[in-house]
Amino acid sequence: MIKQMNLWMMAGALCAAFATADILPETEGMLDTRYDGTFLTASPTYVYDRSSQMGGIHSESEEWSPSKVRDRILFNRVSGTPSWTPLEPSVWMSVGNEIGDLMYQDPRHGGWSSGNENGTPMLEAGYRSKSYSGIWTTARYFQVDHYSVSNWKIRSKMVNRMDYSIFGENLPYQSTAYAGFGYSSGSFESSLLAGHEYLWIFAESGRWLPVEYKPRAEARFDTKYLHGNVAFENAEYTVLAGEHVGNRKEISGSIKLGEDSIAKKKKLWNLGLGVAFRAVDDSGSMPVGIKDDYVVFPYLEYSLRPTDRLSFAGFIGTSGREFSSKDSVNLEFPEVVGAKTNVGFKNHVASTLNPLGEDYEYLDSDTIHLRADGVMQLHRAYLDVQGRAGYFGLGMNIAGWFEKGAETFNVESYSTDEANISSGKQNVTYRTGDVERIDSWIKGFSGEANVAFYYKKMFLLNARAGFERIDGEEERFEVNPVEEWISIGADWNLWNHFKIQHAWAYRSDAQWNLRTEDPYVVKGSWYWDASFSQVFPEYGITLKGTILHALGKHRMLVPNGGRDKTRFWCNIVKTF
Amino acid sequence: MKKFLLAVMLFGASLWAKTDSTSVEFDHASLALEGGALYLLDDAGLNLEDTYYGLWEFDYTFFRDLIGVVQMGYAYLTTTGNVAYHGIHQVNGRIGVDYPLPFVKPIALGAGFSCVWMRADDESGNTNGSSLTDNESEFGFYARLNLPILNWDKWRVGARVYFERLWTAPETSETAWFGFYLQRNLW
Repeated sequence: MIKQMNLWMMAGALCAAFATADILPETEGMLDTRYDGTFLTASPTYVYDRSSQMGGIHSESEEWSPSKVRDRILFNRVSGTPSWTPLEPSVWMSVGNEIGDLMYQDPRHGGWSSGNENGTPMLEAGYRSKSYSGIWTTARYFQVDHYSVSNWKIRSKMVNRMDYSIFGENLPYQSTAYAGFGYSSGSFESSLLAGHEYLWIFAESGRWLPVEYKPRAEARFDTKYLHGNVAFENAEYTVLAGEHVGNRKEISGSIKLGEDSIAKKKKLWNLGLGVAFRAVDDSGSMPVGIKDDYVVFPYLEYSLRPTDRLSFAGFIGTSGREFSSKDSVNLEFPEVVGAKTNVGFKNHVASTLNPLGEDYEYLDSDTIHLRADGVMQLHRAYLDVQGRAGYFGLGMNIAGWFEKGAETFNVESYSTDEANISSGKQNVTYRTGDVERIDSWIKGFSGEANVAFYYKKMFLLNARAGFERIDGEEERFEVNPVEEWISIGADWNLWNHFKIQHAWAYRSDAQWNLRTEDPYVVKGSWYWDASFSQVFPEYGITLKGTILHALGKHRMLVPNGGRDKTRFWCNIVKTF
Repeated sequence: MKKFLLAVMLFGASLWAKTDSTSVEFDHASLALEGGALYLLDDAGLNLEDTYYGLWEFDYTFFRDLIGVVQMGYAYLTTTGNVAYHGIHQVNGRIGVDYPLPFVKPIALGAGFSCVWMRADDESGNTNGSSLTDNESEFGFYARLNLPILNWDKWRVGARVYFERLWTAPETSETAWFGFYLQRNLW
């Protein structure tokens, strides 16, 4: 099966150095328990996610790469939410809430207490059967209502109903149900899923676009040297119910000849040849558009490892209209007193960050062009040292990068919308303009240190602190990333029966420059996340309760987005 | 410093080191019925009467001496004063563990997470403007003391005292529960 090297797994890979995992949020693709850079969540379907190891001023999800062919393309971004990757054989259920429901308000205040937003829940239930002669079935319903309350009235004006979801009336940004079956035998895996889905997708103008997929179906197959997936979607975009509705029928997918995770294979050389594609048939009044209604993007992936310690890897592809390429070289030095040292250099040269995204957004009579002329080039050099001595682990990395032609947004005008609710007003700001480039060099320098303490498999303490400074002649950045972050966490694993994880983290201010008339500062904040699990290894059962984003103030992290509140969710899984 | 940290760790580990770590999960299980009084400890009590509750509880051996606990219960909260409707249906669930105190076994201390679901009882009143016209739910945590009184054969009678805090907004909500239970070993 193709290893989806998406952010979700990169988070795991980063933390693998400490033999631990991040505390998991409610669903795949949500990244709001990461603190090693700038992670600003507007909703489960939109996050500005820029780890300190990236370089450049864009976020990870703006960037397409061959490892993301099975993630969703939502407008011009690649999103891990909602995931249609079948889970492992098990049966599971989750329920959670943004804490702070107004439960005792009637006896306390005789009704709604003014100024308080209600919390919204999340729900999930699903199963995947064992294989019978290789055949298995699966079904999953999951929706995350979190972040929904801050702009519900404005969004409800678009769809003119509150039940725009599979269950409930909170206008959740993501609500999905699918079912299907698969066949697994040796290295051959295949699956076919079909379902119904509601999403709110954040567009470049700042609008939330409500999209109902009825249905969405996806088929996948994997062998060692051949991988493929194809999805069919019949999507209805409701900009204004009954008046401004568009329909899109779409076929998208990818085929690849070659092994998966090519850059990680310890072979002298490795090649993969793939093609990602999408074709749409738009009708009605669509708010988005793709040039010529199709994209076909063939690409070549390669890695070369002339010695055990020296490796090259990258990809290059073109759609005829746009191209994208990345390459890297990494040199690993012999271990000295238990310390592993890597140095490397990475390049990213492309005419667009996401060749498979939309080309246009239509806002009233304006057309927002999402492609800019010219190319971007990003170069990054790094040094990484990780060592372990006895009970202690120590590490650090430093990196410098410079970028020219970075994508940005040239704002022509702003407009606002507002709606009255019982406790006040809800406001949003929209923008028109075009995606353009910053045609001067931007430079960045970052550093991070980490320290860990281990005791057998039972206890792990880890701490990390980092900084980044960015400098350039022209600072038309969509987001000024955070400049300092620090986190301290611990994991206890008591005889494989009781697991406790917690993390305490701080990140400094970030700033949105182009989404509102005055820059929007996301004040620095502390976070505390913790998870408690009862594990029954003999029965394959895990019961887990997780608290997320306790401590800090309930801030809005993205203009027009939802408020980031403290959440609790619990989960039960029985694996087969 | 390293030795100190190690000593702290080993001391921590010794708390569980008394018995063998071989798994006892689900070796024994029991079911209990419990009933008692529910007291509202904060200003939510201004317009709600204290009430009675009933619940069932499933206990199981978890690991070492720890007992796993799963509960589900119901209470009806009658409103007073200026609340327009008659009462509130409350369903509660809890999941946690009990730890029999080594020196006064079988008295046990327990803690865990709670979930409460509420809805206004609108048959006899008007719920317009209420926050409970549709379902509301909230999580929280509880701590409890479990006092077994009588044991015979597969049966046990005892009392439990709970303190519970729900993470409601704008302020948290605290309750105290006191009840008696009848428990039977299932296996």
